[in-house]
Amino acid sequence: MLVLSRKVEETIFLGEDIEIVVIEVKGGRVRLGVRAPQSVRICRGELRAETRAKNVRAASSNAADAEVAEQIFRDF
Amino acid sequence: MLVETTRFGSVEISGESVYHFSSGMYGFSSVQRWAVIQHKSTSPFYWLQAVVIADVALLVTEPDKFLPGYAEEVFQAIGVEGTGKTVLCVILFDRVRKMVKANLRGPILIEPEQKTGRQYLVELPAYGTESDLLALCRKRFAAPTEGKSHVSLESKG
Repeated sequence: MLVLSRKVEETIFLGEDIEIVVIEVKGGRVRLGVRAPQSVRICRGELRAETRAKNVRAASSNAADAEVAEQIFRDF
Repeated sequence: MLVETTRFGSVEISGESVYHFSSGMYGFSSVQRWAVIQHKSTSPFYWLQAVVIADVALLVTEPDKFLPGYAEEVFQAIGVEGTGKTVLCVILFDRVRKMVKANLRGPILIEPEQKTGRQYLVELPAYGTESDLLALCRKRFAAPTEGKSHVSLESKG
């Protein structure tokens, strides 16, 4: 892994058109700005891990769950 | 084609219902073929059944039916045209509290014409990975009138 030290307002480029800016460093938290083309999808690493875990959990749903879910929305 | 499932036994599924997910689904990255099976006719819930793994099926729904405008928000966040695409989301059913929760930050886009699908990750602040679908739905249909809110069921759909 490439490791770089940056100060506030300094940037890193990934390729030609993805720019990451350090906006603020405060209390163990770093705020970053990302400038990238629309086609580049950006998300927090946790979202990937959460979605993976939740898909696996969802795969244990059964037909009875679907029945109850239907009932819950039937009156709506 | 006959698909083996642990939930429904051997199910005859038409090729029309089988979608190709070239990147799989998160947590099931090697599973590329998924059948979309409606839970029951008229049901808003569907099963995304892995074609070759009998015990893998995720309950999904089309959130736009409950949250009009959601699909458009997803298309905008991803930066794609919505034409010909349907947005689904994974249901996480809470058996203890009998709550229908949905991962609204992990929408699945399917293209019924092309028979392709893909799950995306979108940072939509108004939604979570485990949102109470009924509560959100009630909120969405609550039309503000003179500073007060009321639930307007008639405006559904």
